[in-house]
Amino acid sequence: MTRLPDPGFDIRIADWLEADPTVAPVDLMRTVEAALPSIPQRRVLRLPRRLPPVNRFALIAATVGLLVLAGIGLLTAGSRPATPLPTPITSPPPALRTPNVTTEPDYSTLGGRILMEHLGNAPDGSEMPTTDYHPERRRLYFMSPSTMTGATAVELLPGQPPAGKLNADVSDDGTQVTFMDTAEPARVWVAGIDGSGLTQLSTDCGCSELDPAFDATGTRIAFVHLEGAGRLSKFGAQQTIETRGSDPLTAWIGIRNLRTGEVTKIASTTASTADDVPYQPAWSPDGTEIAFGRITWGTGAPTGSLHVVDVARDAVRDLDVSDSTPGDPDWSPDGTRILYTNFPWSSMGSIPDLPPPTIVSVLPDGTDRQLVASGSGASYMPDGRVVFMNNYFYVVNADGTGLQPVNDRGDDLSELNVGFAYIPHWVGNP
Amino acid sequence: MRDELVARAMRGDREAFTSLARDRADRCYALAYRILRDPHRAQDAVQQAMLGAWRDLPGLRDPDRFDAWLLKLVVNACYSESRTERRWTAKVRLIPLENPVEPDVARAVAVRDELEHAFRRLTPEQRSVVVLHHHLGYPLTEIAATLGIPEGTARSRLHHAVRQLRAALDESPASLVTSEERPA
Repeated sequence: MTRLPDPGFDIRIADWLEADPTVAPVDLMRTVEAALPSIPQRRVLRLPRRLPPVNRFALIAATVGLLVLAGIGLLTAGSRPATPLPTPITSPPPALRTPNVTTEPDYSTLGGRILMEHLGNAPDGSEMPTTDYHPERRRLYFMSPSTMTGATAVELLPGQPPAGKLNADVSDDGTQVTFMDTAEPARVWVAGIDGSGLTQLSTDCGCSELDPAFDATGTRIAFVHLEGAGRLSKFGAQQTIETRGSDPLTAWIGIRNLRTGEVTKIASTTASTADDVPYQPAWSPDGTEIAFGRITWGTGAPTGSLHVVDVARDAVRDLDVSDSTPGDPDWSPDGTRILYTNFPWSSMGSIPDLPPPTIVSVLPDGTDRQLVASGSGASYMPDGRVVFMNNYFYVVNADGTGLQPVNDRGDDLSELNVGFAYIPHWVGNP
Repeated sequence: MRDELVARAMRGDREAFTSLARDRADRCYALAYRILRDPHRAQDAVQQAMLGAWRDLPGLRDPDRFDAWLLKLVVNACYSESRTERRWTAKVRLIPLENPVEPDVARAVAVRDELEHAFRRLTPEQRSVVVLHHHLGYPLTEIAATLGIPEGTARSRLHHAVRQLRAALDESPASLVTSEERPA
């Protein structure tokens, strides 16, 4: 074995490495075995590495023969009238597109833009003199895939509403944005994607309204109604529930009709304790179901669960997923899968000592778990790919392939002196 | 036996692949952990590598190279993991020591910490070469073959990595030793 000089130092390194774990966690192989049936093998058509030995003269003769045949073919084809190109058979594009493997280092040439949820100091550095960490500053910015720098980020509705903007959702047609503020009680707002027509949707009910989400038509918004308690969003991403004295806690998912203002309570989602409060509702594309999470804070690491409510039947079913703390669910554009983050940042963010978040998708019944990527704040793009955050914004195919940064020359969006971007939403066709 | 399992797995036999993967899980995890210095990321990297191995196994030209090929997939998965390393939640906690610690023990712990700190500053490419060489005991030729890089590149990475580690330790107060203790 070839080793560099200084065996003494080599031994110290080897000893140091030796002390690290050598046994894989038990669930490592369980996850692999569970995922195998859903992953087809890539079959290859392979030519033999070596051609059988051929006589040199035979090879020359064969080559000349091929050239002659090709020449005859060209002459024959040239004398014929041009053959019309076949009419392309149009078919609807698959909902979950898996692009061909690209040699590009990133996705900076994609169309559309990213609406970025951000906390802390302005990403353009304009608030850098105040080097304090400001988690109560919650804003939305547009970023272009072609740049992805803080300096080029454009804020949506600067200073409006005064209590900031978080937990946003963009309508499927890309024309509207809804979000909540950090006020106490929190309010839900809606505006055009260009910032026009900013409107507070929440009425003065003495309750908080949280986590708004458009349905596919952009005419209804699901949200979390919370009374007798507050959610501490303005102190960072950590969103524990704080009860108010002796007021009973009540929370449920409501649906607000944007045309009439009417609110429908989904009674089956009602919670009466902090650990049952629903989080982050997400509509199925057909508008019949809403996925949501619950988080149990407890004394150790939080745990969570995923659920789906049938809107018409007002009935909740639980998704039996193997991850301990699933959250931030999102439905694929074709409605066949639900994406979620284990240890979601929108709900928990910077709690120290949590495991790194992972992005996972399952069938709507909670089966067929597939690991998509390591990261958080994931959502489906209009074409079925997934955009997510992990210091930088990344795009990955729904099956976990094709992972690339949105822009490999972009800024690290996790630098605290210029705030922290934590959730991207893709706006427009990529 | 191994070749038979590889051949069966290449034909789509999941049980054969599971058997192969199970036998190699500890080794792959140990490698990934040492490169990434994080148990969760190491687990994710190994899982990604294993699933990638299953998917691409029919394309493996030389079944005899299955083990080296799998290690290469693990190393590549570690590169991907380290590229997406998050920093936001990184916290450092000072844990007060309840009992006084013997100076030698304390210094050994401090040196280990310095080594850990210095190692984390290496690039993933340097880390992988260090781990393959100093943990798995691979010679440079085999490191180069496993990682698909020229031998000179492997040598250069190892040289610079070790130099950086040594420099970090030399600068550390924890590593200061008396002249009697210093190796000649």
